[in-house]
Amino acid sequence: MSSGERKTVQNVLILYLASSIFLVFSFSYIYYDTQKQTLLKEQNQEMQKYAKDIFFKLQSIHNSLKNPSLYPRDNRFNSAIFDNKNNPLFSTLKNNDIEFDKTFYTKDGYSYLIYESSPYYMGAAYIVIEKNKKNVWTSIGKNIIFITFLVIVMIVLTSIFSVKLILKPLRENVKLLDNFIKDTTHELNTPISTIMTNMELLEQTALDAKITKKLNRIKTASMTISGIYEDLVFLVLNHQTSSKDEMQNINDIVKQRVDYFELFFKSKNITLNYIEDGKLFYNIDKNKMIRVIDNLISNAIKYTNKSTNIDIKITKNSFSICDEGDGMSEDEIEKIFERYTRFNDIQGGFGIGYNIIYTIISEYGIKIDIDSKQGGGTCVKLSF
Amino acid sequence: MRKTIILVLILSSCIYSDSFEKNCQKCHFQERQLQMFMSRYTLKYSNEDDIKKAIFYYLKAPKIEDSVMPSGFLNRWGLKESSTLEDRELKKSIDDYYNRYNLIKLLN
Repeated sequence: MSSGERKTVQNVLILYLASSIFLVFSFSYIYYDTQKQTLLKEQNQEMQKYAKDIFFKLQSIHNSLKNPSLYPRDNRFNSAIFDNKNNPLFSTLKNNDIEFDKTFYTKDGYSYLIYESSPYYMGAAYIVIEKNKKNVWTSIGKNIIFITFLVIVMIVLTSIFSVKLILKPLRENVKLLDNFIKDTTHELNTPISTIMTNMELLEQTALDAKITKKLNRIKTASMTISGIYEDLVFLVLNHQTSSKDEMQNINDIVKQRVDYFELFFKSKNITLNYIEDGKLFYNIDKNKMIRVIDNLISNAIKYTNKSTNIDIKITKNSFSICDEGDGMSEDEIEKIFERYTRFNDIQGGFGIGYNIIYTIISEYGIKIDIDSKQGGGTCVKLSF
Repeated sequence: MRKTIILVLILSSCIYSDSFEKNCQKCHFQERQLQMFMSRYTLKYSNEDDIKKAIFYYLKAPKIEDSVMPSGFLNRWGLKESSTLEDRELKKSIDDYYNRYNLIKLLN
């Protein structure tokens, strides 16, 4: 999976999972709240029934005036009777601090029901029932956790399945493009070699200026194709070309590649400012280093405007190249290392240059910094 | 010496005797009737203060409309005459009556 695919999948997964889990938790909360209300309602009804029972028993005691009379009790409840000035007359409550402005409430783990009694049998204006509050969580909590867990597992499984389903056509397209490049590369090998060999032979022959100019154009075009070919070979072989890491003089490689691109500089009337501020040595495969330098120089030439400057600077631990092109936005810089990314249809290309650069520098622990502003040119710095 | 002790006992029994017993129970000696009065006052007024106040005002100036007893009872026994007791003494009698007969005492 490419970094772009991974990022897309990550974003989609995060969005999908977050919204689904949010929904699951919302439904769980609504279910929990409904169950809580139902349980409290049931408890209220139960307590109401018991309060009426006490009322009738008080009525009976009041009418009989039997001495002594047993205050009505029940193991499930505590209760109390209060006069019409809220003074307790008889109580088995754990807490006598009653909120008489309410008819039903919960406090400190108990539910309280206040039943108004009239007439005042045994002086009772209020019958207060106290009961251990039903713990909703212990009643339905396990079910909620189990169902939520099950739903989240289902969501994760369906999201994995969905991602695979969504990515399938995308992967097929990438595979198709890879196959196309593979086939094209294979077919390009012989004609490119033939052109380059014959160009070299022709250069050794004395030709007049007009033909030399035309030949130079053909040479530039052939070199461009050759560069693309090299990139494609690197890509098609899936970076598994045999590496021969040796201490390389990067200054020499850069010089060679600058010479190689000389015709390109001339064709766009570009002034090259080449500065060496120290010798840079690095343990790297030469061909891979050439691919990095070639891609950086060819990109700078490709995107800089005609009759501008390109500055190349080498220090003992860095290589930098700056052009005076149109530059890139921050979004474009973020996407630049993704394969087949192109920001300019006019210039053409496969959009694989920076992907190759990134692959190689990541392999060798080289840091890359891209400083670019739209309309203000681009500077790329490699820190070794 | 013996006479002195007897005199002290008689005097102290007079001082500490129940005001209700002394002032009311001469006529209202039926336990059931006293309970009935308290039952009716409790049913109507609920709290101790209001019960005592209601009894006090009724005894000071008995009126049919203030009575808690049913009309049959009033027809049979008629309205009570106003109490001649001092307010303080009357209140003490009522306190004693309440302490003896309040309905909550029945509960245990």
